[in-house]
Amino acid sequence: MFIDFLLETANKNKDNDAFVLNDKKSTYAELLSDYNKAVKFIEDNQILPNTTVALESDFSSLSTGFLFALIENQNIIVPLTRAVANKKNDFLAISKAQYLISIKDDNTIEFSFLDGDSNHEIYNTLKERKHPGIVFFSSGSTGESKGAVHDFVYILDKFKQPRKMKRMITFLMFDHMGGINTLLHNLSGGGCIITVRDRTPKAVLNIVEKYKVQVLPVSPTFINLMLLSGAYQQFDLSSLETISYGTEVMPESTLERLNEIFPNIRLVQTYGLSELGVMDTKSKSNNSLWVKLGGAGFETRVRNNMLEIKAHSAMIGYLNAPSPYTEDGYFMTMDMVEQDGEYYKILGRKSEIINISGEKVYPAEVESFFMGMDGVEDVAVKGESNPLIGSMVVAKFKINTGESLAEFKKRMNAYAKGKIADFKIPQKVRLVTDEEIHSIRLKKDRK
Amino acid sequence: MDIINDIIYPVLEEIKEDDDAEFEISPTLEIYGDQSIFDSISLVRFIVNLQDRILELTDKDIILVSSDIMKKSNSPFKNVTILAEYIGGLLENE
Repeated sequence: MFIDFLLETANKNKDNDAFVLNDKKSTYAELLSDYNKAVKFIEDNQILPNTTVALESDFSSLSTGFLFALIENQNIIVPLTRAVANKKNDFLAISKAQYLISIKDDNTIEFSFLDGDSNHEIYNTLKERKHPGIVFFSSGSTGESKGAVHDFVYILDKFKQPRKMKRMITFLMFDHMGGINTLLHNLSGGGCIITVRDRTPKAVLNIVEKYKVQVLPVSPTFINLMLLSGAYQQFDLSSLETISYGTEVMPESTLERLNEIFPNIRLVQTYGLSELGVMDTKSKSNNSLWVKLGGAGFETRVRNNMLEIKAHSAMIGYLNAPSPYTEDGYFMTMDMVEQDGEYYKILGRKSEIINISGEKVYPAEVESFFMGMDGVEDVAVKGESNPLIGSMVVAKFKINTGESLAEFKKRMNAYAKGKIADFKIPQKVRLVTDEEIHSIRLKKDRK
Repeated sequence: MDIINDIIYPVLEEIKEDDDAEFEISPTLEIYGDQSIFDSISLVRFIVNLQDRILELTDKDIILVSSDIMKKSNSPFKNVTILAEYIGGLLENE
């Protein structure tokens, strides 16, 4: 009922590749068979409609079969991947998940009952509409995760218009709006999704050559590293038609150079948020950062230089945070923009959030982590722009151990390794006096 | 002052130890080229540490990577020797 159009495409393309996952191909026929397997599994285990089911897996034909079957069974799906393993228990608790389905790399399925009861005010909207849902988690202002609940029917609506058949790499997985968007975009048009574990420019471009990839979505950081390493000179990239970039602000110099090297490849900026979905965009030209946002189902406006968006596919609300909507239903993106008629130029977040290669870092979270380190009396964290990765984390410490900068950096790295994500460990460190740190704090507070 | 021995090697050794990385330090070691010893975050940390070390030894606050670097067809991070020449050039122009 909900996914008829996807099954129809799969039926028409049975012999075509649907996935190339870690160098292994599978077809649409296998996807259909995996879907039927999942439907039977749901029946056998009596998973009822409207219950919340966590689905733990990387992209695979079987996990996509389960995703489709859970949509069809009208469940609320909480996708989890290995990358968020350390937050799994929090996500399960916040989402009140009742069941957990884990699909391993060898396609074995583990099923377990959880303590959750699938009850939440936000879920009632889905129950009334008799619609399936999905919960995406994003990091909140102090680092705690916010669960955004979406009506899956509204997400699916956008893909009922048949898309062109393409071969496309994805770096994002199930637990990300961008990953779901890529999945549905491709499977609705009979395209092929290709995943890569090694994300170095060389490994990715090797896959582009090997599988004749047509669409490559990347971050500006990836492009910087690709240009710096010269890796693009070693591979036959003639299959590439489109390179799309998003998640962080693109430096104009990088875009210019990219356009010089690949004059025949279309360079497209994407814009999406886990609360809203991914918008269709149209860049003014290949070397322009000005972009038209919107398309069917999206309305945009600018207030106080900040972009606000009303979207058909917008989430219903957060499970554990206040509503981010204006009274008339616009989502406040916190992204500062310039406007020129129908075109926008995205300038970045109006906040202290540090965007490193598309990953968000909240200064307060890093500060509170390092306040627990021996000898640290105070610490102030901020972002500093960096031409390679967008921004880097800069930390100014007031310490009482008398260590030199080199000694302290060594101890700081050892303290943080494995406890917080690598990109959150300050790349630049300075030791400062009491007065200096007070003045940094004062400036921050005035903002 | 010898740029390779006094600046680049100590910084490479520091990162190698911090990250438990496995690479052989030599003048031909590829830093970010055909083979890469760093991911993007470690590369940035390496660059910042190099700048810190240069400031400590020479009192010169130089910037190793600006947005212009993307326009160069040859990366100064290709290997240790090329990087040393690049740093030498920047120090001379200071």
